[in-house]
Amino acid sequence: MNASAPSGPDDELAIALRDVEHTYASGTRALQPTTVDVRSGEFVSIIGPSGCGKSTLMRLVAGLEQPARGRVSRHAGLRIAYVFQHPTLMPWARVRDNVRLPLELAGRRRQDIDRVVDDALVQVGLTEFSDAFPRELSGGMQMRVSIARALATEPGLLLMDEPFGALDEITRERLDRELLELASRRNLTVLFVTHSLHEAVYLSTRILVMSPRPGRVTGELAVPDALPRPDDFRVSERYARLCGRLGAMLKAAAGT
Amino acid sequence: MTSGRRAVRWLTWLAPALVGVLFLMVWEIWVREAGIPPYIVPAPSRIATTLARDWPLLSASLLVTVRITLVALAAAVVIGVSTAFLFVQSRAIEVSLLPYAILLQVTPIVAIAPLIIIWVDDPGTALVICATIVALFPMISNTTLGLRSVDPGLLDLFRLYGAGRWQMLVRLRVPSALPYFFAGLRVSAGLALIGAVVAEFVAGTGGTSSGLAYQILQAGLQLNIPRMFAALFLIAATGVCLFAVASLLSWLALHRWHESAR
Ligand SMILES: Nc1ncnc2c1ncn2[C@@H]1O[C@H](COP(=O)(O)OP(=O)(O)O)[C@@H](O)[C@H]1O
Ligand SMILES: [Mg+2]
Repeated sequence: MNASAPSGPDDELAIALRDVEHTYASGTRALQPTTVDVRSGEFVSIIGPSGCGKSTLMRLVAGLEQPARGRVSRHAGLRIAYVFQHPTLMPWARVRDNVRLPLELAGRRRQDIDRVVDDALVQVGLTEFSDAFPRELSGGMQMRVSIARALATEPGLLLMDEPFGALDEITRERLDRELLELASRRNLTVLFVTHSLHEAVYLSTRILVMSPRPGRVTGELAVPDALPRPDDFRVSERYARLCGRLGAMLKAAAGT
Repeated sequence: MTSGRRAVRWLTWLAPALVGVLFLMVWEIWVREAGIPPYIVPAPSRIATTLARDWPLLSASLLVTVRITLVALAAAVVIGVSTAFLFVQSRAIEVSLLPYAILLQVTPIVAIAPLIIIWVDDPGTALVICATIVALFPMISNTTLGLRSVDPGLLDLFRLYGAGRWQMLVRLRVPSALPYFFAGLRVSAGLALIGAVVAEFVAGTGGTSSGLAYQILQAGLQLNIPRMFAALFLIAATGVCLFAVASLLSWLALHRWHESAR
């Protein structure tokens, strides 16, 4: 593994990718040299056309894939949690046991686990469903379980790969709002993949734009408005202007 | 559950039962009206009275066949599951052994049974070995498939959170394999019975064992056709019971979470 602790002036970096490239065993070139930093407390979104290497980038950050070239550095002792596009729950385990899994794998003490899991279920509003099986829940609720499982690990970096992409618009907006509130309440550091520019602008403090496959980061847009953002942020003129700017950047990236 | 669903559930019991009763009635009337002698086709009532009259004899044989079947099934489960675990631990082992498992599967048991009966002194043990061979393959293939059919997303999740090889096996592969295992168990339960009966047909001419197949052979020699039918009925009933028990076990293990067992 290429992990090492960035030190000195980069101390607050959660992760740093330097000229990272990736080619899959099949020969598919998925990522051109890419450099990405995520600092503690940031909510960074990655946006780009499908197939441009967003998931590959996330997998590299998580260490599920090793870079063909370049360096992936993680802050020493950084705990990473990953929320996939699908809820990825164990169908044979109750909600509570799904949330417990990462803590049990980490060998945490039983009393600790109970407390942390209860808390995580409260955070996502699923306390009543802790004894349900995944298939008894709606898609949105399953996604909340997945988020609770990630939160329970108290991650220093939360990776979310199009987590609400498969949900209907209404559920998605509600979960976006909940996520934003959660992120600011728990001061989460989040790296978030989406192909919705509205979602990106609403959630992020910074947005990275990627070009089509094989992708690389071609632009960056800061959204300095403080988190959590008021409900009327989504109907403000400023929000519309930022979305417009991001749309133009995406179009430009597609042209290169 | 809605009343409609409940009605459907009742119907799935009632409809086949009705068909069965109807079939037996037509059979009974046909045999009586056409005056078919019982040594050609006995009437259902005749088979029933034979079953009752010969019960001491037949029940003893039933017990023998059931015991052979259950021991063979248990052996097939243990050997099959262990082999499957071995296969998923190492591709090399799987590649070297799988052809022989298939060979065992495709060779008709009637062709191997005489050899086994000669080699193994104890006839009961020989029959168990034959029945085990017949029942083994679905356990190996289904469990291997199940242990490999793990959601890749869950595999990533376990890796991300630092699961070891053992934890992956026990907490991920084994539960993922359960639906496949139980599907295999239902097939193997029936096959164990078939193996036990077929092997006894091969062995039984020596008069060394006294399972249901032996009773059928003996009854055939004596032209005691009603007893043949009674023994046949017991074999079929045993098969149905085995399938029902395997299905019940499967339902108990899976119905809370798996689509196959709603
Ligand atoms: N495991 C894999 N093996 C081979 N090619 C892959 C694999 N995963 C993704 N790819 C390919 O790499 C490219 C980038 O994929 P991905 O990172 O999933 O894109 P995105 O998440 O932006 O849609 C795609 O062309 C995809 O087909
Ligand atoms: Mg993707």
